[in-house]
Amino acid sequence: MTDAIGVWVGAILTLVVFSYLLGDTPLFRMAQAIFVGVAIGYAITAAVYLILIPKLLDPLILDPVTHSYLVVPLVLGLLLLLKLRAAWAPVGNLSIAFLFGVGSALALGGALGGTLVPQLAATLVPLDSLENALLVVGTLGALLSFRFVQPATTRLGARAVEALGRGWGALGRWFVWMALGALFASVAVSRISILVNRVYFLLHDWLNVVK
Amino acid sequence: MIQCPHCGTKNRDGSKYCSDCGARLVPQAGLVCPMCGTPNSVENVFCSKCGARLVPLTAATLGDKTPPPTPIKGLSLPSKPVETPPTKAEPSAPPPRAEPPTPKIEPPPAKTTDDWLEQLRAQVPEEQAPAIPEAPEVESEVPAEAEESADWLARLSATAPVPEELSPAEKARRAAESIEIAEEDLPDWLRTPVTPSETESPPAARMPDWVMEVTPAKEEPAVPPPSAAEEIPDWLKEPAPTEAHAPAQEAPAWFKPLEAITEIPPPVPATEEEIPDWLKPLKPSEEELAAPVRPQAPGEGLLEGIAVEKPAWLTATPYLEPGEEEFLPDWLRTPPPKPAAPAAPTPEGIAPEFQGEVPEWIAALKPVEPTAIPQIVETGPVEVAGPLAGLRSVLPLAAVVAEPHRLPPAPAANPFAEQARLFESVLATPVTAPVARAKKSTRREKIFRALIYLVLTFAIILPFFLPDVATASIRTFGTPTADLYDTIQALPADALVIVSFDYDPGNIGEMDLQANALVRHLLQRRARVVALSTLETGPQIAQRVLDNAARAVGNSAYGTHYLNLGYLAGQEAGLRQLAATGLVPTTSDYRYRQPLAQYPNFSNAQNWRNVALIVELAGTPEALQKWMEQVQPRVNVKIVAGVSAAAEPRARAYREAKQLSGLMSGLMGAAQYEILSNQRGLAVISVGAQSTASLVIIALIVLGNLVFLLSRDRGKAK
Repeated sequence: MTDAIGVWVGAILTLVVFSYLLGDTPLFRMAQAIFVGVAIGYAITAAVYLILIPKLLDPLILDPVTHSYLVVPLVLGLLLLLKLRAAWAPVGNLSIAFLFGVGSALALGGALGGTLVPQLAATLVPLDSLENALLVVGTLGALLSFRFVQPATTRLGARAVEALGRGWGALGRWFVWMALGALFASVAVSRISILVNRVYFLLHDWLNVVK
Repeated sequence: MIQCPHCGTKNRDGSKYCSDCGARLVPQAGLVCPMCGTPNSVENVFCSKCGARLVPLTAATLGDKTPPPTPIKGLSLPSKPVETPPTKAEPSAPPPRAEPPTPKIEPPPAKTTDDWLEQLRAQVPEEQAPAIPEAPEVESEVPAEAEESADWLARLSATAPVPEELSPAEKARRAAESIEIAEEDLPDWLRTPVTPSETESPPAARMPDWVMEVTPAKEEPAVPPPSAAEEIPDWLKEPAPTEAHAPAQEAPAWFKPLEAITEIPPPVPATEEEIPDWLKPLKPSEEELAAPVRPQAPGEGLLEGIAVEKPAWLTATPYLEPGEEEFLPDWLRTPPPKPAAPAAPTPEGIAPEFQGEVPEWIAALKPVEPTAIPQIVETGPVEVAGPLAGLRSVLPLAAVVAEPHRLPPAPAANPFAEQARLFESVLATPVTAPVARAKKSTRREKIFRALIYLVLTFAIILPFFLPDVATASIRTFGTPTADLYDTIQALPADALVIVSFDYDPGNIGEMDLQANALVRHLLQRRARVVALSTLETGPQIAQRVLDNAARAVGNSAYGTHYLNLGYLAGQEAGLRQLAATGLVPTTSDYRYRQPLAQYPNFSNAQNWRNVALIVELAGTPEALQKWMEQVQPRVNVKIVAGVSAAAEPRARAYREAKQLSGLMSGLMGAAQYEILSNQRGLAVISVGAQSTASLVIIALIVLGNLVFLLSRDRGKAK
């Protein structure tokens, strides 16, 4: 019974959202409000029952001596509540500063060791295959496409290098466009997948016309 | 060091002007020419530069080492001061006055002064040598006179010390000689003051008025000191104190010629030969001669009278070498305006017949006309303190500098003012958001839009009824999904696998298919699955997927084959801690809120060495990036990922960099995995619908562009 109610509610809300194809209807706005409200309510509930109670309050109440270090996050969290009042908001900035500082440091360090260096090293491949050649040419071309200055020189060698760089940059610009097209296509495919899932839900779970 | 006689400031040797007050400095042991300011040696009587006389009346004999010249007409007329006997160099040498005095005093012969002076010197008793200490009295009189006379005379007196060894008689004699010397060298109009009968009954008929002005009331320099008067014989005592009142017939014989001299009428100024050049400017004008004689104070002497008259060389600007004038203060460059009744003669005051004879250097010293600086004189402040007290406008710029300054007013016409006002008006204008009025669709457009929706819906629905249509188009060999499948296939039995469900309900449509296929495969491989999530919504999704997979596989129980640890808070920080410490034993599971240590099959999960594989199911590229940046570089564990189609381009980079051992992306990846794991299901069916929908969309795009091009060409043709 519970599943049936859930299916019906889900099916109705799905159709309401599809009504946007006909225009910005009140039903669509109502579905938006429901979605936002449910998401926030779920996030608050999850934060209380998945974080505050099991990982902060319970340890402090049951064994405060062992978990005395949890006072620090408790105080920082309470300081965040001070931001609700403008006069006390600067005090709450301490917690915000702590969060942003730690987050920025971790993100920067992780990006260097987990993304930039390994992926730059991955481009240093031998040109023994077409795939590797395209990888090298595309990477360098993409970098050269962002070169917007031209050296003021009249030497023949320099002019030849400049022409080569200009042509390679134009080729790299094509690689950039293809990458952006692939990103857009992947997003479109992802949304089509979601549409297919919703149609299957309507046909299978709600209407039972498809196995 | 040269000490300034005016303010006492010590200046460097060789300085001509005081660095503090600007007064002219007198070099040590020298005489400064009153006319041109040139320092001269104390031995000079006349200036070595301009020829002016340096020794007007007194102190001319002090310090002069030359012997007195031969007297003329009964008077001693030395052209240079009398030699002073050495005092310090020969302290033990007996002075001439030390000779036995002559008890009988005889009147000195009138024909030669030396004789009677010798006799006078001889009359000084030797036992009266203690009269030497009285010498300081003589010295003390000189500064007293200097205070009332001109500064240069005071300095001259101070720099010419009187020898202490002189007896009062010698001093008197030398004083008389100095008078005689000065009398001879002075011009005629200055000789008259020394006449003893001047104060009694001035011969106004024979002497001009301007001569009367400079006539002293009493000849103090000629008066011998009182102490010395006791040693002077009676005949010498008599005329000295009462010289001014004694009748001419009572004067001694030797003084008769002097009286005769006083009766000589003053020289006629017209005779140019008799007037030295340096005295020409001093000659009074006709107006000055006609002016009434200023009454003299009782104590004023000869020098005081001269000082009061202030000849032109005292009132005019002193002669300066070229370039020296700029070092003078302003108040010295421009002499202050003279008050009324100036007595000093000016070049204009000299008769025309004498103006032509004024040297050029004197003419150049002509005072500036008071009308040249009227505003400074009238408006300048009056100095009330310091050496410049009483003067006006000596520092005219000081008041201007001291005044509070105000910035000049800004120019009225600012070229940017108009632009600033325009910019301000633009900012003040309330911003009205442009209303995006959607173009009202026509009926034809609405029909076409509805047709597109119908076609797309039909393209999606049709594959569900023909499930085998798209199966043949799914390629699995050599794909990243195959690598993921092979990795899981290679896991040993009871391998500990951490699966992170990092996608929200919005991505369930494609991510659940991947998760279902993958978890089923893991449970089939009898792996121990530990689920967690970095999103709040992840644990619920994970629990549902695990339960569905366990039911599908069978023989899998929660806590034994799979475990849900719920939400991992902290984002990057939580993942960093996970990589550093592993799974904490105290971590509670999502379903029963029991610590990890309560599950025996997962008690060793805190050590990364026991973890065989990490599976990241990321709905967004950011979720995958966190794992790849915070965990992958720090743990030696293989990582595979299943991502949404939107996150595939980012995940491809990690795959190409060999940071991911396998990758499954989107609905197609799920279908590939179902085919590889031989569990065809919804993913394969959905791939058919997705492929059909994609083809339809492409066909619609092409058709729409063709219609647009044809309609445009038709319009052009029309």
